[in-house]
Amino acid sequence: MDQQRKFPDPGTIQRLVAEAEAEVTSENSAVRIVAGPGGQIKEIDLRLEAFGMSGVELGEMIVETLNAAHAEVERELAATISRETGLAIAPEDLSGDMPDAGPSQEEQR
Amino acid sequence: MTDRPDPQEMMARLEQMQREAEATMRKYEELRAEMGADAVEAYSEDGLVRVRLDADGKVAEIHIDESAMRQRQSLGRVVHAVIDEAVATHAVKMADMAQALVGDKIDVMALMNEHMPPEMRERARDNLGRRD
Repeated sequence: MDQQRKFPDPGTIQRLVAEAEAEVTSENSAVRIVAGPGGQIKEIDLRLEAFGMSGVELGEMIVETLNAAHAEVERELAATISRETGLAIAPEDLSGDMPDAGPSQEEQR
Repeated sequence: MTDRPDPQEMMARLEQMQREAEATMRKYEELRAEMGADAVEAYSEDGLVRVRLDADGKVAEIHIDESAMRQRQSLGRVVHAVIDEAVATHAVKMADMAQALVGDKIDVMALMNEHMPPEMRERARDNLGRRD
């Protein structure tokens, strides 16, 4: 039993990742985004309020809402995987950024 | 008498592995600088929407020309399509870098081709060519 807790079924994790999704709407309701895992974008919906803004403002608002949606997916997915598997997963573990290589052997000397 | 590994030999092997890993990281950084990994951009067909990704492939900037604001019905779809194209461009660039790193040990491009439609690949290549 303990071993099962330590090594969760890869299929379970795969399913949780595939189902992960978060919907975020900007404060002024102009932009609604549905995001999936790994930076995936499922929907971008621009509401009437969006067209009262300038192009520059709208572009910035889409980027902001995208980032919020991706952060929300990572947060929810990390919480779900931790709950389902007992593993301690942080949202940063799912961000997919390149890890910092740290100092080289020469730099350490 | 015993098959127990020699600690000195093991240490030498570990150091060798560390040297190889560092050499790979150096090569990666060189390639990254050479290929300009910081700038990936894609444009809509009419050039009114531009998307720029950062080095990690995340959306850093979306520029929408004021005249595009009249496209109420389609603007969201256009922005989405340009982001998809920018992401594909970044993926092709990363695949190029990975291929240069692993040489002919793995056919990275073939692996990528399995997951990207040919027309998207072509547009991604065009974007990289435009930048070069």
